[in-house]
Amino acid sequence: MLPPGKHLVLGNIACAEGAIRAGCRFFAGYPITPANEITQHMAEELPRVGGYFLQMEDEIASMAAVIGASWAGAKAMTATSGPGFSLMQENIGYAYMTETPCVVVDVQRSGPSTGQATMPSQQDFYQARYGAHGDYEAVVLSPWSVQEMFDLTVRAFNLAERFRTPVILLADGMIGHMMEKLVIPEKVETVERRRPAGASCTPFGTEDPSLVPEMPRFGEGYRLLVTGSSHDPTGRRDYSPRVMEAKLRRMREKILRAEGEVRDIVEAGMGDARIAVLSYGASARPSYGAVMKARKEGIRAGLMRLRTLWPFPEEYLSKVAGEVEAFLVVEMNLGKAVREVERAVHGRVEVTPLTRVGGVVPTVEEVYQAIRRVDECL
Amino acid sequence: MPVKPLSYYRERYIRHQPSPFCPGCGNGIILNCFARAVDELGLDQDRILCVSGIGCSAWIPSPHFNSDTLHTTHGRALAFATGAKVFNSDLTVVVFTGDGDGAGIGGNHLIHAARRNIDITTILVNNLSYAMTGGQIAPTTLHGSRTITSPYGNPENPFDLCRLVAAAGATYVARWTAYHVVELTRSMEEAIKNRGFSFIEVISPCPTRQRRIFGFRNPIYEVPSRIMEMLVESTYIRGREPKGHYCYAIPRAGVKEALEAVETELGRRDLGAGVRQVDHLRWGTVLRVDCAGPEELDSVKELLGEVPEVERVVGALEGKVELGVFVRERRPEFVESLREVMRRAGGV
Amino acid sequence: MVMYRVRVDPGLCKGCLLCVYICNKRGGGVLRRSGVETLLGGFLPECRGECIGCRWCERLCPDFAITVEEVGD
Repeated sequence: MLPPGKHLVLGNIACAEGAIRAGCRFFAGYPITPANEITQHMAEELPRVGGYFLQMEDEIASMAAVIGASWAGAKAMTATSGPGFSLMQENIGYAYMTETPCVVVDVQRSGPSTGQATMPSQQDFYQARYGAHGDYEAVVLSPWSVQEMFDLTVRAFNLAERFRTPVILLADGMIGHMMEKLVIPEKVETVERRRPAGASCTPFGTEDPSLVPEMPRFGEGYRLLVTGSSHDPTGRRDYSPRVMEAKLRRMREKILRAEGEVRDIVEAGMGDARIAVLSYGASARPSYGAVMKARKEGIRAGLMRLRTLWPFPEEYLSKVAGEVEAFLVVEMNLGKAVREVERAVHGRVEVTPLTRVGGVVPTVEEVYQAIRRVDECL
Repeated sequence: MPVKPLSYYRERYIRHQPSPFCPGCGNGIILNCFARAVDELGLDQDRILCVSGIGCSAWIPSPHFNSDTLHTTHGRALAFATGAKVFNSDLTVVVFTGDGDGAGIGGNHLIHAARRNIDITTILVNNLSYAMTGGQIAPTTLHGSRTITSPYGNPENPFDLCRLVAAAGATYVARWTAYHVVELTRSMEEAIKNRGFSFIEVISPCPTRQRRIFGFRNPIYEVPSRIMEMLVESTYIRGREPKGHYCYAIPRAGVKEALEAVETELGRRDLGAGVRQVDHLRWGTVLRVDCAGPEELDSVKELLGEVPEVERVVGALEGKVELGVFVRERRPEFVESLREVMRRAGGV
Repeated sequence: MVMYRVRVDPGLCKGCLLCVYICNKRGGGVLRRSGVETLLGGFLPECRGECIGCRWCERLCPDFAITVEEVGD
């Protein structure tokens, strides 16, 4: 592992380093551009810290192995890109249903399909939230720098352990493949999953206000029943509507109840902003430059950068909609987060998308011009 | 060793009975054998992990075997099991899968798990169709079989699962039927003891689906026994000579007419041969002709060849499924190799 | 001389009659189809004659429903 201190390092490497420091001791993956460096770094580093690296036969198996390891007690992770992320969805859904803590890194490439493998996009915004079938509440984080590839991976593990849920780190090919300064702290704060106190345990139900059940392991004598079928708090199959509904609503509430804490928005210049420029990940970088440039020109613009994409901060945005006169949503897709912003804003103010696809990141100038156009209409 | 009644195994190893398996389903018999194998090995029940996919066979351990159980997504049990076994190699990991779950959607994971030779025992219940979902064609369904997705005869050919998994690298490979409970139980013990990938295919009765596939029009309570008898008739154990001297006569049209024709012909030549109708997995409902010795058998074969109602005469073992242990090898085991990797990397 | 008695739990037995099949094929040939129908259209087995304690029926029972008990002479 890299020692604490300053480094110049690839985004993907920073992600792997963050995972290991967060306590990840199991990684299963499959080769796919642009996520290969994460897998490669794990192959080199995990064995050194007593961890296990597996290259599986496909992404489906990788996600399955991660879940199996998690129930054997591991902090476990996989990393992929769009095509692999699509293959993983059924097992990610299984992880939701069984409340299995794990981290899935999607280093987004330009799609759909094979698309532009080496080029970035933010087109998996909804797939990270709704990729698997059925109802569940997702936690999705979005790094905009090599430092955040480290920091948000650590946070992803801590949120996964805390809420006993999969957490998706929605990175992209640019952030993953660029080199930048990384400061590795002496110590990293980690969180451990709730463990059963006594001999008996209900792995899928709890009286605890957090709504997060205790998580036993295989091999501890609990004779566990872990299944993707509808089940009661003990894990026993139960197809009754009441039991299934109670489970789904509890799994949703355990995340939304802590939405305030999970919410993570970094703002710049929003104090007196009339135009809120909302962005995340790679596209937030030129947006930041454009906002600074606009402010210099006397345009009262501010940047809202989402580091937690899901649960989407609707409530917070609704409040902001009362304080600004327009939103500009900058994304590397044909308009996805903008739909969520529109929903939160309820038409009270104008919401304008700035969409860029084709595997390119918008430029500062493009965002700046968009801000000016919005400003002229105010 | 005191003989233990079935109630002993039920109380110690089985839970949530009665199971939802259909009357006469092989799954319950396989669960029965598994409980005995575990007991015979004296395994620590707290360290057994049973992983299963989706399908009737998945319910054998989940919930009915009293150990840790992981009921996964369709076809992926072995991949889930790999993750658990790698992270905690103290676990005795057994995967229960079906012919569809394990060799259909799960085929890719099956051959890779075998290639890795990971210390996992896989018990594949082969009931020749996708039973839970209505009896569709499976990768093991015989050519020409009528299922609900091959109403005009199955156009495909089945895998030989044992040769497939052996070629992929498994170090213990065996095939039994749910009838051969003593051999199957012992084979499960050997598989679990094998430090590597162990695979047991169990050809299993599925009265609900096979009744239709094989056209067994009997009352429902007779079907399990009829299928079981067919499994005995259609298989032979590797290395064991068939008991007796016999052959099969495949009727040209109706089996009744053929039976009468052969009986009268045998009667006329007063050859001391017995003839009866049997069900054969490969040839269907045919006649079996048993003779006193090899000479009588030769002359009976000739005679049968001339009976117009008989289309073809088939030898005792022809078209039968071979049972037994096909592979017993020693090769580096995957988790041990991972530990070697850790040592070389200078890890803990 | 040890005697054996066969007990069938009607709450578990689905009436598949595999025990009758195997008893008559490899065992003492004493189990037979009874007149008592099960929920799923099968019939409970019954023991007519002296069980020889071979336990083949226990080996083949898919539902753990049949038990052979040793009965002192």
